Amino acid sequence: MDHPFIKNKKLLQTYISIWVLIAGIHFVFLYFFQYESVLWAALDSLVFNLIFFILGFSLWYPLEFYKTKEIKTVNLIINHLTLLVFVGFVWLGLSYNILYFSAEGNTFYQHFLYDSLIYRGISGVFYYSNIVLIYYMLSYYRNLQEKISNEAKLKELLKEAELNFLKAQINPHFLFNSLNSISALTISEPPKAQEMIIKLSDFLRYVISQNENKPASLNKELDNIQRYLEIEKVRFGNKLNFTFNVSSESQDMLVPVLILQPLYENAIKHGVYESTEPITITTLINAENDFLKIAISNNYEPYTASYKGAGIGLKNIKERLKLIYQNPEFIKITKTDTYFEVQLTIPQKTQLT
Amino acid sequence: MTLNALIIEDEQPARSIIKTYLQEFSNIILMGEFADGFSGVKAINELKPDLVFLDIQMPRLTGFEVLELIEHKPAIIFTTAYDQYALKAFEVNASDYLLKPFTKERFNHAINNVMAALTKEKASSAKTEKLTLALDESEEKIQRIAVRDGYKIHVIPTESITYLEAQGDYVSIHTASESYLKEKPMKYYETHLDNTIFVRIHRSYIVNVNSIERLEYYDKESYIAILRDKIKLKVSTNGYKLLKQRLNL
Repeated sequence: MDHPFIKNKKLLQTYISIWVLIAGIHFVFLYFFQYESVLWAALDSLVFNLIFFILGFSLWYPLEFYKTKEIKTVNLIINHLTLLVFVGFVWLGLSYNILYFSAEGNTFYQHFLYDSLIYRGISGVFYYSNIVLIYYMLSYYRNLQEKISNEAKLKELLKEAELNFLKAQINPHFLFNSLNSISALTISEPPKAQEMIIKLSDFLRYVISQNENKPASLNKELDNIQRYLEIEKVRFGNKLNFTFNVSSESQDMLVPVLILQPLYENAIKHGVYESTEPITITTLINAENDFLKIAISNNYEPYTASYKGAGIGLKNIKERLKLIYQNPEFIKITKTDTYFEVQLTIPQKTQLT
Repeated sequence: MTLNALIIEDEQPARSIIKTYLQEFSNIILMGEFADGFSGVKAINELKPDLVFLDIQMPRLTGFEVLELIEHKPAIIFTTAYDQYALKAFEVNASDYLLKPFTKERFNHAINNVMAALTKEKASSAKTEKLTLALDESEEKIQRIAVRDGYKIHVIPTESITYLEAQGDYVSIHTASESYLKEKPMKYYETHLDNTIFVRIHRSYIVNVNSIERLEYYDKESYIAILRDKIKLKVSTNGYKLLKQRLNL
């Protein structure tokens, strides 16, 4: 929304210089070819050009306003014509009246002023179109820059998410405690120990082999989450329960890779770690039109005073969704004293980057 | 020498491996196993074991909080998967700890250490004291305070604290509805409470800035903080400076 001329002093200087140049030509033309006196040639040039200078400067704001709405080309043209007529009237009306009444007694100039209105109108259309064109170019350039920097930021964030993920997943607590469980199982139930080693390997392989730039199918992501939960289940026994309710049409839909995993980690960390009662993690996934709706919830013990640390993982997901879909509304958190829920909306039409 | 032992550990497989390893020691009698900090504290105080296997990350109370709350001080072997702060404290104090997963040899070694220490009497409880002190030096901010009140244990989330007051070797911790006594130096809370919310406004007071209703002049140079529940606390010159910084006045 910021005016480019205010943000960039060089542009403002150029804009001023161009108007000074136009005003100069305007003056020379009136003085040499229309035989106006120096005073009236100068005043005429000053008033007309100064007013358009100001109007031209302010034009940025209605243009930005048009841009914020998705409108059809026809409507856009109508909008511009209206704006042009408005600017024209303000410009000519103000300038004409100021000069006409100031020039009382100077009928030669007053006549000229009246006769020249049509030409001034034509030059107004010319000024208007040029300014609009320049603004559009600037705005386009600015969007392009933003897009480039957004993309760079997304890449960085993904890398960070991946790193965090590796660190969090191959989270020392998770890994060493799982290994400890396996160690116990090798004595009591060797076949189960083997099963768990395989699950842990599959889980780690999936995490390591994901290409962070490609979206993954929901199916595959959920398979891996299932593995993760099953490994944790060996540690926590009846304390950890989970249910999945996934509609069949959403199975093959796409999600940003590894975006769900931190939510399950949070549920385990803040729900199961801190609880002595059974905790159930419930996953509900539906497809609505072109959106995948994911709700992950868990109960937790009210007095654990530790749901505070949930910030970083959620913030990261929020940032990622915002960068990919340019919409901060795609994550919603509901929290009561005993219940925590995160809802995600994943659009399917937008190309995932 | 026979030893009575307890296992306090929230994960079943982790308990089972300790039990398996213990089978070899016929002189160690397992009195019970507990899966969370609350029942752990109760069991230690009531059963007065000689030896406890204590996990650090557990529901309700961590192993360290358990350590703070017990009256009876047994020999303790910590078991943990990973905890960067604790590991340092362990190493400094040469406490007995087992990093999961651990071998049978490592386990036996820890037991032998404990037996040797127990024959020297009291040695291990002095060790525990030292460990507690070392843990207090870690910079990690606390999110809750556990206090014992007779047989009851209260866990106070730090954000519900309105202010703390120094009382000799104790600190009284006030929330909107209750107050509790805890044996800890004021200095500890000054460094371990989230300092964006808690400010030491006076030698005797640390206040939660969210519970302050207003500040009034007391006399030249000094102020009185009036809390939402109408309690008045003195603010020293230095405390006023800190408070001003924190509130961006």
